[in-house]
Amino acid sequence: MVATSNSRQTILDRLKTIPIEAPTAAAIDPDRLVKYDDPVAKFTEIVTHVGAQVHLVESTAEVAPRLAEIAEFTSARLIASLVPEAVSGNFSLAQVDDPHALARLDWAIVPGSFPVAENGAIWVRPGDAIERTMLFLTQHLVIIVSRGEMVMHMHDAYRRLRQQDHFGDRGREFGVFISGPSKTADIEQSLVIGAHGCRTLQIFLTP
Amino acid sequence: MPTLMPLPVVSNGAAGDANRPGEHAADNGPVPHRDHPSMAHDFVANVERTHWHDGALWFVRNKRDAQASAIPEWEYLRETAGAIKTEAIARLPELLEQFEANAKKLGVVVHWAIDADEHNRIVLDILQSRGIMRLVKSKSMLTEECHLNAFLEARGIEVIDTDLGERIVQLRRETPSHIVLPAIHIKKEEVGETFHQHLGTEAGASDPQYLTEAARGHLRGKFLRGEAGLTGVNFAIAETGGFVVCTNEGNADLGAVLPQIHIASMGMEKIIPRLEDLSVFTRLLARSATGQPITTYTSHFHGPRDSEGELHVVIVDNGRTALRQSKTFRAALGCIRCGACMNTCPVFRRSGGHSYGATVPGPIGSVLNPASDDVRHQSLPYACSLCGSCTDVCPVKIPLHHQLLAWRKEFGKRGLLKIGKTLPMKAASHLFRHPWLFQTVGRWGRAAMRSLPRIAFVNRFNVWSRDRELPTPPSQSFSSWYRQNREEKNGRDQ
Repeated sequence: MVATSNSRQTILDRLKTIPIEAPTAAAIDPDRLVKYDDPVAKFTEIVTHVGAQVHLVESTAEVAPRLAEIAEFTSARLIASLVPEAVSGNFSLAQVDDPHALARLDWAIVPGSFPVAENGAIWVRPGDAIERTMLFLTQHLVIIVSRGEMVMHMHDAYRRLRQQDHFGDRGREFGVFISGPSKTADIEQSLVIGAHGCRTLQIFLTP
Repeated sequence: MPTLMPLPVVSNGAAGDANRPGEHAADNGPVPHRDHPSMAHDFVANVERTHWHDGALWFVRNKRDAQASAIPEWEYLRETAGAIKTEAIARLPELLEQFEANAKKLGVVVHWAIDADEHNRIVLDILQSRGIMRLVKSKSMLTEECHLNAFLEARGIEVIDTDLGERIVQLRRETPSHIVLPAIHIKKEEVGETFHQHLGTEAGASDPQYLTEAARGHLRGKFLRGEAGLTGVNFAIAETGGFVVCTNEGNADLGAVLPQIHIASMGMEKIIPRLEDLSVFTRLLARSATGQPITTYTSHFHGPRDSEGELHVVIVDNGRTALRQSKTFRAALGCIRCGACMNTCPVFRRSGGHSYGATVPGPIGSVLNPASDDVRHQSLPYACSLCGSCTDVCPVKIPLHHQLLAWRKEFGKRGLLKIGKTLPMKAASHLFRHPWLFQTVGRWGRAAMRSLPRIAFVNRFNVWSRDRELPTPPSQSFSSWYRQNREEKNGRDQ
């Protein structure tokens, strides 16, 4: 085996031996991009199509009553919430020091940063490894996000991530666009909702 | 025609190493070289199955079309994506160094691997030095290319593929037949059989919902017991030192966050310069791949999960620097592995992914594989009708069918063509350059077709007639028809 440090040099030498000229790709012209008259309707249409349920609410106080109408929620044993003003949860994350302890989590209620109209995605940025694990290990996921924060498309999304959130500029962090519950079509192209991640996704769009 | 630069033949791995990319035997042993038609033989013999496979992929192609046409700026996005990739390939050394420096600041350990063998040894070393015996993997075509699973298993490490399609092929001891839809060639009844045998599902059960639920239960246990997680990389951002992984199932995220150690295997061409470039690629990737607006999860990793966690990124060359040196084939490095060219390819849809005998099949595979072993993969650029559909759907605008044609020319230059191909071509060239000969042969040919028995043309020595019938010969040549009809009339008009 060649030592890694030498391989690094060999690879870079090989690449630098052949200098290639190419222009810097022009930045995207915002005037040439799609605009939706009703971004909330577009978002709802797209994300409903990929299996999520969207609830348009006027305040976080409406979240708990809506969830109480869902049988899987009322019968749930472990509920963790990062939005206590909406749902208190019955399981304190402060006790958890190992992500594996979340293995039996039924429901997770988390805040989203902003939704994206064109593809029904929501940017979610968990604070630590425990919050990050929750997103993927829970059986059912609830994201509460302000529709006032809606962006039109991914170009606006990344512009916002850079300018407002300084994403990628603040050291170690993790962020994810989530669009719908987990799914697979690996068996004969038949869509099955609930692959490894959440089986259902409830989205609450607050003002 | 583009000018061809001499393209070095790249050796994959140390001499004598059996782990060469392009082999698709699950046991990783050496496979005798076979050409595309002979590898497709069994698949195409089952006509019903061929139609079923064709239909399944065409369904995905249609979903892609619906998504593409819903975005008015689709072509503008493709153009921009191509320009970003062209820039990134040109600036590759600089961007890789920038990525490394920024990733290190985030606490990432960056490794460099010249070939598949070095990649595998780096992963093995990370695992063994920490006493790790169980690895959970999400989808990574690079680790397929490097034959990582067999390498680790031979050294006593349990490797679990967690993408449902990959788990199915892993349990069946097969390899993926498609880079996005690994189990597209397998019927649900066969999945049911496999799961009955390995996961204890009911005999005869074939309902996808039921089978997926069984796999979910089985793999949850594996996730919770995993000691390290390995993912691929869809896009690595030079400017931030982070990278993005796109999945629908959520398996990459479970594998990356539950264990303390996350290893990401990254082909060096995955690099993009800026954070904003992601907007173009995240809009194109899932729409082109499966006809979804975006994957369920588009995860952005910047550094390990916490202060106790470890994140290792292994940057792999394995023939990519050599491909970059070729002016003609360089653009193929821009591939984002969406699989759209496979879903649309009339040959792929009817011959199946395994007929290519390589990790990456289809049009893009037929361009990439001969670069690493021209003799072995010589038949692939001919598994193509030059219809150009792949070029039309490629989200980064790789001129795939032009490159496939260029390979044929390159094989000629390298003296790799068989006499069965070169001699008829020389004869045809001679024929076309001598009009009197052309006309004479045409006359004989028409006469022969009329008078000789069918067996003179349709027999086992004539490969062409295997699935084709000769047309009825015309009574006269085009030249004599033209003389009769047009020249007389023109003469009258004047």
